[in-house]
Amino acid sequence: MKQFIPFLLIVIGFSVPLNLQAQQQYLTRNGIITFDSKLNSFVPVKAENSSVSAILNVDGGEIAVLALVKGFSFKNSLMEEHFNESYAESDIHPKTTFTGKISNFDIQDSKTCLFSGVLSFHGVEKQLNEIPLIVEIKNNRIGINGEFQLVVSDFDIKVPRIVRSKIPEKIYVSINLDLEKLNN
Amino acid sequence: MRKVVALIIAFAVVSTTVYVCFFLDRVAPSIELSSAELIYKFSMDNTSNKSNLSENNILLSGAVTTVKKSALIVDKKIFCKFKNGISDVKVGDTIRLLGKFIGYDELFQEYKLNDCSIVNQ
Repeated sequence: MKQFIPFLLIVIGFSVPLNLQAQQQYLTRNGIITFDSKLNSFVPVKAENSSVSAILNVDGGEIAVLALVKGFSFKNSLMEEHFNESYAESDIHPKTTFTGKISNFDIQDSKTCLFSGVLSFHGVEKQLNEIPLIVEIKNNRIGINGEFQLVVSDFDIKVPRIVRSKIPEKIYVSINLDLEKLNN
Repeated sequence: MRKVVALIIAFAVVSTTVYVCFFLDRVAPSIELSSAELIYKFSMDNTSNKSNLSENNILLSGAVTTVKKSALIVDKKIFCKFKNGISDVKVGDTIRLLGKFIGYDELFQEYKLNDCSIVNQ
């Protein structure tokens, strides 16, 4: 057995750099996530975060997306203040993340792929299954676009009874990432 | 008749006060920090300190280490996203900018400032 150990070390030594090289990553710090109630209310519940970070591992299709909750900007500054202080509690839960895998991802091919993974917001983790995402492969860039629906009550957000009618039950979340190749 | 006029005036005064207090965009005060001071303040495990950072505008000074289309990285650690494009800034410049601190990005291990604009030296 002892004589095999140097041989094993050599094999591992060669395979680790090869593996790292194969793990080609694409990334962005300027991704956009918007959420919108899509209701015709007097003051629309709509916000955008345009400094979303994301890293995509091309080989396995694994993706990690992070948005800082304080980065969501509303048209109405009072609504933004309430969102941060009362609902999202952004001092306690400063970030929202998606981590998971894009199945049938292919670096050679632009197509609709399915994302499955975990979304974390307000300290609650929610499993997302087979969310369709449009994946566009361009020169050294990958565009990812998609939209899905979330139910507000899934995220342990306490809504006072007096404003309950004004807070939508469902929220449409859209994601728009323009990832560029990481230059090693 | 006088009661009606008094009521209208009272309503106008109350609604103007409410509007001024709650709906006008209030200009947040700003605190001046270097990159190291910002990181130090954030690293102190104290929620009120962290919210103090995000409630105020940050007047940040430091050296530009990366220039992107609508963002700069200052002192390798502070990612500053600009409202508009950036011109006449190059790597190595010492800069002062005003922005809104939104938190720490664990994915890139950077501190993020939004809505930045360059302040004249």
